[in-house]
Amino acid sequence: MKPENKFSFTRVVQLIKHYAIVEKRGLLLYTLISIAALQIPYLAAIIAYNTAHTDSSVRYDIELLIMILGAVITFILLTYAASQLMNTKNKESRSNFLMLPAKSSEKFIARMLICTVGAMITVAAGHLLGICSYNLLLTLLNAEEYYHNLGTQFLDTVFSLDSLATSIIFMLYCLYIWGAAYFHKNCYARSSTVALLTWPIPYLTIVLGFTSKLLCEYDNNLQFVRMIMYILPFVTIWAAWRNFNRTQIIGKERYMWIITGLIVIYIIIFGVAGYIFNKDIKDVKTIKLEEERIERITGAEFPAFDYHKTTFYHSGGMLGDFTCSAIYKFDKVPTNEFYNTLDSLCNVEGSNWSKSNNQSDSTASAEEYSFHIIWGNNYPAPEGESPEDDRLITIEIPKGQKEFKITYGAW
Amino acid sequence: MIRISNLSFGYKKGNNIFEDFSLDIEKGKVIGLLGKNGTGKSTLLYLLTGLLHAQKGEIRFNGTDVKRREPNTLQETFIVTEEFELPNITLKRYVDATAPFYPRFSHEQLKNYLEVFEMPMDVKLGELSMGQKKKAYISFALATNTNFLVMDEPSNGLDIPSKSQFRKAITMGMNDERTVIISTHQVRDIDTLLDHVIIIDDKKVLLDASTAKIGTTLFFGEGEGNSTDEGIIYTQPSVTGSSILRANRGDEESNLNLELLFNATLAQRNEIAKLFEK
Repeated sequence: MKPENKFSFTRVVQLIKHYAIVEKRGLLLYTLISIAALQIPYLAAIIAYNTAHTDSSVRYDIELLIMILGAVITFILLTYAASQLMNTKNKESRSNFLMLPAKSSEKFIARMLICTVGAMITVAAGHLLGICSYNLLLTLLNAEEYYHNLGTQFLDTVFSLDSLATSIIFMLYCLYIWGAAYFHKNCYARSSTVALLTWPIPYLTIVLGFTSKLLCEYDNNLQFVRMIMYILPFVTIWAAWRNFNRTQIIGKERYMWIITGLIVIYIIIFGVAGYIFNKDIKDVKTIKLEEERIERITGAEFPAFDYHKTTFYHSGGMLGDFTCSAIYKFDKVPTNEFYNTLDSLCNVEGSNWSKSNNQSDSTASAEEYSFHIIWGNNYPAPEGESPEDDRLITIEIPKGQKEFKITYGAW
Repeated sequence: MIRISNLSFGYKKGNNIFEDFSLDIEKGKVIGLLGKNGTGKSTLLYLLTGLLHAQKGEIRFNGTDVKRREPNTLQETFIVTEEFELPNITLKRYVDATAPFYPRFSHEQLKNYLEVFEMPMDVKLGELSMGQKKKAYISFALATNTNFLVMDEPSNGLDIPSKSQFRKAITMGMNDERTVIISTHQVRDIDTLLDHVIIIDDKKVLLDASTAKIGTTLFFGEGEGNSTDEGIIYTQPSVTGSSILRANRGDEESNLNLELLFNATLAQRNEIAKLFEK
């Protein structure tokens, strides 16, 4: 092999430099639009909660609608941003790119670095700005922060090595950019189609909001599914390389926005399907703990009560962790007999009951009874509960009031 | 230098532009590639440079298949397409970004070619007119010193003085190792430049001959009215009456008339082919 035909990292760097100089307008547009797009999820989060939090019966529906809308807008903007990166949009630019004296593999790797490392930097910058603007908007709008530490949650999700859905989203996005550069004809259509056909499970997982039982749990039986999903990126890289090697000067890009539209519809359909078929999400979000279960766990006999509304919900990613707080209402203000029972339980070691005086808040009851328990992950489970489930329950009962709060979650 | 062997290519199935097409291109020549609209001149240029892949057959540049797009082949190849794109940056930045890929690029020669075209070095490419962009691009192409330079309609968009500057620049850029293929309909712009002529039509090469050979095989003359002289292969109206093309009767000298040659080759392809087979 002639020396100049050997793979050269120097040429890879030259190619990246060439791209940065020649396509600087495209790079700038891509960066700005991507960063703007990544503000949408944070804005959607604020709007979602502050629009719907007063009535929990429709709250989940409205939240889901706003979040899907936010995801769709973000997706469209990121799609448009990626199109600015394309230096092979037309015959003339493809000619310039293909005729650059470098190996196909060098051009492919240079492109990959721009698409992945460049995209990671842009995504990180976008999220950092999103965190800042999220907190700023909360203050300016005097809005309630439903999603605690939303920014860090997003960052954890983006940069977590175990965040399967996020890594797949990222690979899909990179595939999208690659495809538009390397497919012979109908670049966007083909790359989007390859992504759709190759990655149906990730799409399903993503739009079910990370809480799907299908893939979220650490279930050994599903590990093979996770393994397949980690192999799929390499299959995609191979497919992209194969197509790049066959790139020719003639080739039109058709149907870009039609295919983008189809993917958006695909996401919406699965979002709706997830809402309809995922009972766990509905159950968790409406968190109605039965009276019998509360009494069994707490060891106290409760007066009749009923679920009133959910006030807080947080989902912590792919492992199915969640925390949900809800207000319950006694049919009547409990009698002293009930409070005496609770006083007794507070004095029993290991009962998990405690009592506090809330002197600082003049509007609240002076006394409040609290119950807190966790089980699973080597903590023993209370009677009737499975130690396989990792759960927590906190009950806060202000003395003399009809309303009390139960926080229930998985950890 | 370049060997095309049994090439077949078409954009759509069942509608090939080239069928079992073969051609050898020697080094050190300025070659004019002529053909009617739609006969595949630009396609052939794309195939020669590896921008298109043939369905059958192969094209080898110094023994290497151009389809592989190896760096050593690409370093020796430059194509000036009819429509091209230059980024909206200064020429200097463009040279800084692109010249390193061509080991024999000469900044000195670039400066000389720009002087021929009366173009300054400190220009912003996005602010140039089409003709000016073309002159800058041709200057860059020549300065790469690639051994294989392909140009598709290079004089399109050039004003009258620029066409003469173009001829001067090509002459300056030629050497024994370099091959330049110019595909054009503007035959008067390049007829004095050419060393070799290739005419293609209907998936075939109709004529592949050096201008020297053409000169000794054919005679280009002018006559009055319709000449009935035997041996005339083709006539066409001209300002002075008729332009005539006939077989050269032996050491007759005449000026190459590319337009006449082209029309005659298309109209009397069998006769022309017979003459050049002798």
